[in-house]
Amino acid sequence: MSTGTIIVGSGEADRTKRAGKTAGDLAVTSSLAALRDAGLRPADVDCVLTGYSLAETHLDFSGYLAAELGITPSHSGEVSRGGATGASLVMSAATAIAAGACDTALVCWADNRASSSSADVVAMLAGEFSDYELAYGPLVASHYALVAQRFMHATATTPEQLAAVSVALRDHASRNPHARHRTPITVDDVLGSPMISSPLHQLECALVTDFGGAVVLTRADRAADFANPVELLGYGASSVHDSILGAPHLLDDPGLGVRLAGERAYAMAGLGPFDIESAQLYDCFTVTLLIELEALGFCAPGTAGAAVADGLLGPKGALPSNTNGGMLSCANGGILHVTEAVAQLRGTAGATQLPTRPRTALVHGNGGVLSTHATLILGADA
Amino acid sequence: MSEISMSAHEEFAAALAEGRLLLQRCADGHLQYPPGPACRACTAPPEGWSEASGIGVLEAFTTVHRAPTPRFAAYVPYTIGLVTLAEGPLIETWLDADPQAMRIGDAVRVTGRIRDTEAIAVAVRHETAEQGSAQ
Repeated sequence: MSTGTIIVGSGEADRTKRAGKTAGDLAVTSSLAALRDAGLRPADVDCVLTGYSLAETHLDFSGYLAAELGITPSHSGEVSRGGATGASLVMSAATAIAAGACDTALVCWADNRASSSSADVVAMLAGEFSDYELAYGPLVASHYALVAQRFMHATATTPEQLAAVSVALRDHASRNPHARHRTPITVDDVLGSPMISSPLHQLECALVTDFGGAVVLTRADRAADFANPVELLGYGASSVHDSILGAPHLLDDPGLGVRLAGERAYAMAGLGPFDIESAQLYDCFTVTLLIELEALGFCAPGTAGAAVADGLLGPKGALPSNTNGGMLSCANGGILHVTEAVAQLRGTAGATQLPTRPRTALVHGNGGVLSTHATLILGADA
Repeated sequence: MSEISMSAHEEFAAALAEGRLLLQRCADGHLQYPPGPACRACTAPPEGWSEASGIGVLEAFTTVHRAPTPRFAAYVPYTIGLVTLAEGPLIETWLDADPQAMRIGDAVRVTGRIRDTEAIAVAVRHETAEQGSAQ
């Protein structure tokens, strides 16, 4: 069982903050890297899908990118699903290929969230709320904090266990020369960092950085034409609410949307959580990752915090995850969860390559307040 | 009066400024918050408003230490509450209580208050008769 599509190229842009660097620069750079990696020219691509930029306005970012690369695609557009955008782009490209709308797709998500001189991304994201939320001054972190308080109350998960997520990801980042933060941290460091919105501390919140990532997908029957292809075994998505006010299920079942997307992906791949050898889980906040671990079946309800504190996510853990350091220590942008998963499966992750190359990887993207979801399951021959 | 009628949000805010918390009511009698273009339960058009009792359960709360925008800088730290109203809907509020003394599941009462020039919903502890006699 499979999706009939393979990933044949992957690329990332240099994330160094620099005045004048645009989202367009990051998109073109990462896309050219992905095409070079695939051994393809822009003219070989007939589908271009992009994410959205918060920092830079484009009527349709995919149109900009296609024009800059000299591509005239038969299928193109922008995907906007918040943090789920990265995984959703891959899913959208795969469905277009499976439908016969195109053969070879370039998907890219890039944003100059740090280099932009005008964008206060934290304020912009908080400004997405309705009038019935804006009046109370929530950060995005505040709504996740409400979920975190409920989750900790229901599962007896401790602040130290939440902090262990940040510690584990920083440990991965300490080996990654491209991670934004590399100095190892302790649970005490996390709990001693400034409180942002209780119970979430600064070191439990995703970084705001530039990012650019791109992958190239094509039909699985072309696998012999490429070196080191990665198979897209399954995908699934869900959208279970918009704002927290319409989401009473967040109070007692915050993993609902994660679970629905994950179940769809597992069913398509014909695999279950015990078949997954590495993961890249959306980590906008520490609590997000714990909820995902439980909802995706990696941990029994209420046990993810203890499992992470015991080393679950580390290079020698049962589920090495967010191996580049994730959004908590490496960089913003859910597309990098995809590129890192591909690198681990191919054995090309460099300094962060796991000691045993994984044969399967699960990527989960999450947008809004656990609102929109996309799960990918990828595989490579041993 | 202007010929331009007030938006649903303006009507809601005007009532809140007078201390009344309004829920939108559809033709089939469903109550919802926040108001929307159609009833989320049955798709019927909105018909009017019902005043909420204000009584509810505090489901979760968080104290914000970093203002999202400059207009909130003067208020930090402030505590946001998420309340299930007795009528059913979830509402985001400010919590006017010592967060250390509050627990998930506490009974609260939500009222309208003016913060500077803006009407907001504020939750306070709701002392029930039972709690009052439990000394």
